Amino acid sequence: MGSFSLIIDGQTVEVEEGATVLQAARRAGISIPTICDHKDLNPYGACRMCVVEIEGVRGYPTSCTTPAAAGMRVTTQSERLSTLRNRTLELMFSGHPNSCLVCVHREACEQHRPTATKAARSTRCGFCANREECDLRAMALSAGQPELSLPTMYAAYNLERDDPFMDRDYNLCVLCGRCWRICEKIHGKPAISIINRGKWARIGTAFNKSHVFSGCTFCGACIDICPTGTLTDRFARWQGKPEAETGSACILCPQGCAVVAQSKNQRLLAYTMPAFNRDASLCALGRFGAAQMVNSNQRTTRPQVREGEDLIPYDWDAALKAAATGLKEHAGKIAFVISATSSREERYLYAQLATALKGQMHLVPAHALPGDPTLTTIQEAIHGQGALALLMNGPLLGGVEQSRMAFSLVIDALHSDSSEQASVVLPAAMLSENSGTFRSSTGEIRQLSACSQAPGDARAEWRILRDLGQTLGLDGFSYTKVEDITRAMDNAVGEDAAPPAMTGDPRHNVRELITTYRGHQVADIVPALAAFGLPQRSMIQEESTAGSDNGFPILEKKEIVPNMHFFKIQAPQVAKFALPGQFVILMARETSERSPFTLVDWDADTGTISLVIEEVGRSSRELASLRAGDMLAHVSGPLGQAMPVEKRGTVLLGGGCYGVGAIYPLARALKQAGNRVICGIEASSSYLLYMQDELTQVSDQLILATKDGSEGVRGGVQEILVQTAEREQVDQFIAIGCTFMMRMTTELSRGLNIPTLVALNPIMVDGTGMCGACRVSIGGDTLFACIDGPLFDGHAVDWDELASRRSAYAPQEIQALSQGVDLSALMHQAHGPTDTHQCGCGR
Amino acid sequence: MSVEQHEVQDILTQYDQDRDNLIPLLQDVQERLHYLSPQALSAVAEHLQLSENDVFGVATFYAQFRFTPPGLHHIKVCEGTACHVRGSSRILDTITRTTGIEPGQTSEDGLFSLERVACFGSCALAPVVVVDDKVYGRMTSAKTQRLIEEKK
Amino acid sequence: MSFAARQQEALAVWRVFDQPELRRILVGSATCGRAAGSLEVLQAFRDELAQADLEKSTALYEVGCLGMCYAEVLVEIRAQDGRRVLYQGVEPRHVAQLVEQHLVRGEIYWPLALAQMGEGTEELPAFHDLPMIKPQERIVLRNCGFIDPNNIDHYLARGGYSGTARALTMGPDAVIDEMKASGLRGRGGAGFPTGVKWGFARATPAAQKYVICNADEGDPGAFMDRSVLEGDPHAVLEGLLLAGYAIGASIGYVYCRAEYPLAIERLQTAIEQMHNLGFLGDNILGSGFNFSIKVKKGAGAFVCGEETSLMQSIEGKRGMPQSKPPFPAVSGLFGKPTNINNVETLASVSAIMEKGASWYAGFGTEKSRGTKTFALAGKINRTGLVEVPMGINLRTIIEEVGGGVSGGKAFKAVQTGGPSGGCIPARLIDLNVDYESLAEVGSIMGSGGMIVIDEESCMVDMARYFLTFTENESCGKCVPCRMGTQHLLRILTTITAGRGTLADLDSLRKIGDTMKNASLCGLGQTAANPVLTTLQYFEDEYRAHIEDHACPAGACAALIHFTIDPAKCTGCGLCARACPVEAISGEKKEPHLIDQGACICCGSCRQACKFDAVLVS
Repeated sequence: MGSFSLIIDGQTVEVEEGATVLQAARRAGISIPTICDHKDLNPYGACRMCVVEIEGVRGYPTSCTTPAAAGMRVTTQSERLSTLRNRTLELMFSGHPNSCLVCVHREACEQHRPTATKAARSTRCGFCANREECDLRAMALSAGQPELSLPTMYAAYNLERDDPFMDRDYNLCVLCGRCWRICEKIHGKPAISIINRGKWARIGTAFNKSHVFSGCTFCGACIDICPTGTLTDRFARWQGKPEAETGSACILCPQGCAVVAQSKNQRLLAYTMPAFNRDASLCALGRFGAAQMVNSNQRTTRPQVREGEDLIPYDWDAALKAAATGLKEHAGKIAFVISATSSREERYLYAQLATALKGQMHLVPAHALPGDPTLTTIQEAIHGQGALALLMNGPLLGGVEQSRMAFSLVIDALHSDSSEQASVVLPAAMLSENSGTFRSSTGEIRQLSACSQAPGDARAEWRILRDLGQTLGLDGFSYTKVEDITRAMDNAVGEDAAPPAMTGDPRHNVRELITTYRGHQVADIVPALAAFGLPQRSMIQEESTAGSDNGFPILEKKEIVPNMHFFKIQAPQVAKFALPGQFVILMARETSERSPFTLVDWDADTGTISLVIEEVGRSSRELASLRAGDMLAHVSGPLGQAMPVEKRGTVLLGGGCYGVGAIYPLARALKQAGNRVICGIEASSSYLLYMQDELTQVSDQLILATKDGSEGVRGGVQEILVQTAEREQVDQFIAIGCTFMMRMTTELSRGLNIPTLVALNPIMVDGTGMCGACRVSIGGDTLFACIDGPLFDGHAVDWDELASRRSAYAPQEIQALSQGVDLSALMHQAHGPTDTHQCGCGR
Repeated sequence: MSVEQHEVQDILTQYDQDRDNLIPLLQDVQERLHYLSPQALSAVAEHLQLSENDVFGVATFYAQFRFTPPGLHHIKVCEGTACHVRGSSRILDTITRTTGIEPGQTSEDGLFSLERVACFGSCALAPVVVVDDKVYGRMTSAKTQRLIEEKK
Repeated sequence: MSFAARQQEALAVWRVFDQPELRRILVGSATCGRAAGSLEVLQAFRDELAQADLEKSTALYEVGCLGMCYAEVLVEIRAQDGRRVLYQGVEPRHVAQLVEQHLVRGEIYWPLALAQMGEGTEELPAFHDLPMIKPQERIVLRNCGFIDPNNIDHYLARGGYSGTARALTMGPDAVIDEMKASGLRGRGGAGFPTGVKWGFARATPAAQKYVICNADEGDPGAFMDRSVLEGDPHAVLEGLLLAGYAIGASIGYVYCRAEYPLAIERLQTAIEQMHNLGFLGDNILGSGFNFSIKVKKGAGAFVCGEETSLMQSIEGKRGMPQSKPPFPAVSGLFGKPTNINNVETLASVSAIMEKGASWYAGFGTEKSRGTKTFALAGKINRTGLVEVPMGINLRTIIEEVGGGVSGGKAFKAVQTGGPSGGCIPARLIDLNVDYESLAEVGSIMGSGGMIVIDEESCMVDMARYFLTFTENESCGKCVPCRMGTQHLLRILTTITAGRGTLADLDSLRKIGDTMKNASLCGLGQTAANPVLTTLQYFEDEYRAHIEDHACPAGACAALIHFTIDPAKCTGCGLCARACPVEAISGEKKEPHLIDQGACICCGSCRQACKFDAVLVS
């Protein structure tokens, strides 16, 4: 192929034949904005951001689709081009929530909330898991403060969460087509396609089938190539941008696929494909399962030694000593049962130990299931040997076998029945926590690089074996790093054998996934895998009170605007005694956590209460998944102090998020008490405003504010407060909403000398003053939001303390979300959800 | 195999496995079944060795294809320019009022289904309504109402 | 059999059809004729002839469209005197009378008589002297309505395929030169010179090439292609054959809308006939040229009129347009060099090859040669299909050919080019109709839809209508078109509901400009035209909606209400019968009343009233 040159922005560029103008520009170091273009995909020409001017060519061709030609003269920057690009960007953003980008409070807000806040629907960047990696956001911000004046057309597609590993929010999709194009490229027969056309065009599957049944192999390429937060890995979703990407290999099966391990804070987020092509694709277990296994709560974290009936935590030295003693005692009668999913170094050290202790080495293939002929052979061999001790790196043999032994040592990363029965348990590191080498079933040697920290006291297996060797006083166990073992092994053994190949091809057929890892059933560790029919020790049975006769009936339930759910619940005792400002604590199920919600309305006669619940984390999601007719397990209340209702003159109530509903009963009471009531409510964009009609009825004036200026005042309650105070005397200000809004408005009202009440929302458990989780500092005193609040003098609140206490359990809250998948719904559903939630927002 | 599956198989055997047969195949299947059922679509995909999602993507691109069975009487209202100028939206309103269905829907008794069509090319006779492939020109609200009552 | 011999056979068939002493009835039965009831009329004739025992001595034919759609059902009757009389508005109830009076007694049935074919008389004008016909020049429509479209001999007898015979002796390059010399420009809308386009495709070396006839006539309000395909399919197929020969393609496709079942049927019949007579297949007319034609049915997507989308559709994919370059002439259908022409272009090609480039170049203007067909529709007296020389005055088309605005209302504008075109205001009625002049005023020739708009149509509502169409038909691939159409429609809807602001006008212009310059394909690039041209010529009307909350045309339901003028109302009750919601009541012969609460402002009553008694405010 020949090369030729063309001129881009006055610069001569030499390119190979077949290059596009965009590629040529990149070659010259000239950057042209684009969303739909990707180096691993064919040109598509959909986003229209990469338009350029070419001498002699009519109009504004897209550089990504235009082949470069000899002598071509291209201009990539001009006033006309930047106008066109900005307007195209504006059009693109009108189909993608964007209020944060034009919000006057963005910088202050991001300072207070440095990471995105978890939410069900991402209605703004601040609620988007992909905030730090969003190409759209980066493009908009690089253009300075973008001019986005077109209203957002929120599509209100259902959130797609009926999938084992991925969350999909097509309300963020800009139809760049990267996902289906990469799917088609990698798999030939794509598991997704563009469905419909025009404004109804979206990415989807045939007849909205679940991805479990659409031919999806869960390689995750679509997630990795998506420029927005539309497609996310549920587990990694709220963990933020990976800090490190380390090349390594996955050793969950003998294929030993090369991976790029994404990690953050020494924690594995995901294994991803090293390149976007068919050969580099990963199976569902590698792509999604590995990170969940490594971060599983079933990890073994401390060395343990049996003392009678009990396994007692020991320190490493003592545990190693106990292990060495046990082994030494049975030298010559030890069976080593080792999984093939061990690194070469580990296997080498096990073999060294076996030789020194005159034990027998048995290698268990990765895919061996109970009853596998290999296992039977091993068992027979063990019997033949008359073994009295057993060393296993996983629950590889049945419990009967183990119980026959006088001594058993289990070196494993995960808890099991075998470790329960063991004489000594040594906690090992696994997968991304280990370094070394691995020989794949095709014979290739893959490099393993540690990129995450083993939990607790768990250690790399090679270190455990080395230390064990040293404790046993054996020669040749003086390695200081894993490479030393590799070298020693290469010198001693030469070519080691490749593990037997597995039968299926899980990378291209999700039904052929390997079901065990070192004797553990993987679906026991990653329950979502049961969706593919993987065996599980016990099916997870979600207790559900829905449909049961006990509890509090939900009379009405609808999503009034994205993320905001209106509930009307039969709770006569609460309704009878409720006062403005009070709240209730709800539990969706008997197993749910208790969560507090402000009462929006109540009717003692009918015995009903109304609430507006914002869907944020796991508990509110459980609540949001209930429907009219279902039962709530518990409703406790009314709780907290009522607001003192007195005549103050003019009262301004500011509401944001759930606070829009929460100010309603206060406004009503204050109005009845003869006050002039002004309600000011804020939302990111006009489509997120709600309860305007209700608030109009209970106030003298309703002022709207939107962050993007699409309706009412541009800004938030801050602007409403300042503008109202300029116009008239405000005698009392009450703010309910997010901590950021309450804090900002409180600072303003202090300067304006307006007495201010805020409704604090710390983490709360029992709601009766017992647990103390909700303690807040008010003017130096420690008070409990549940019994002393929720309303407090805003000017006396220690906001920093509140913020830090509120975020104390952020990692756990994030982890809880990924476990919230409703598998029972998923597994029995060949087609998409047939009875979709029908509500105001189209969910 | 159900009758439907047999019919689809009959159609499939008339086409070789080239992708450019996709749309004609879907058209034939729809002509036979009056809509594209998930099973039929799946059979077409398998015949052409394409992904079902891909085939569904193609089918949903074109206005001609339906995914739910139509009513006994399928009403199409032309929304061409000439028809618009001569009041096709009134005709559509009338049909919606008398049948209780919006475009794209099938009435609960299965009697009527309604569809909007870009243009039949019978502009000189605007506004035009097509019921069960018979063209009715120069329609008025009153004539439309009578036509539907007759079909009930 | 040689071509000349074959032609002789065809002439023999034609002479039988054309012999003056044979009783003959021609019933115009294209889709529009059928919609007006031509099949019922045909059946009535069949029955009547049988009853009168005339079936053996009378030939009864279905023919294509004469273009006088307003006068459907059109029937031409020739009694034994050889005089051919054209009757209009024929219904089955007239048939007995027509047979008895004209066919048997040889007397003209005056109530329905429209014209005489051939020479006229004082009482009955000649067909070609009719005001609708006289300004016309029929090249594309040369055979429509005069021949039996199902009979290839009729086409042959009137000169068909003689152009092919000539071309095959000239060689492909000479054919392309002939096209260039004729000055023919693509009739699909953009007006690219056909010969030049063929030259590109010929110049790309490849073992396999394709030609495609674009019969995906998607413009709402256009039906030229349908009429030609139904009335004279061979004219188009011969054009496709010639294009294939010229560029070196062996396979041709006709991509026809599925909404045109009759056209598809006629095409398939015609293709079979071509095969039988050796105009398709291997070694056509002994020239060594091989060619075959496949018909592909569209499936309901306007964007497939765009050539790259059309090819995607033929390939069995979503009809989403592809970026150009590469152009189809280099890499088109299945990645092979491909040439696409529309129906009208190809029907012109066969005429040019028959009669020569200089004959064709004699029509039209310097830059726009030949003729153009238009589908006249909307608020005009004589709706139909017309073919006029390029450069003709718009006034001639509307006032003479079309007979002026219907119902005595004032002419306001004419919309050309469908959803991609623009509205030309009444004051530009003296505009010459050619590619350049139309572009100058912001519209396009398009494929030839011409919708006449009177004072009762609101221009904002018209723009909104077109955007409803394009929003629905946008493929959704590129951002400017997908999002732009939605916003344009949103804003226009706001304005027609009386909730618009002046800033909205600015937004419309900005979005329109972005779509025009940044969209991927022609659909998006032109989708804003109806908005931009109405804004250009009718800004006052937009402002009235915004500033005065009024719709001057009385069309936007949110801004108007209807009342009945008791002084004018005769109590005839037509309005009450037309009202779809029974909002009008009144005693017979007494002034009627509209119940404002029940009224949905649809305007049916106003349209029904013969006394202008329904007032809009």
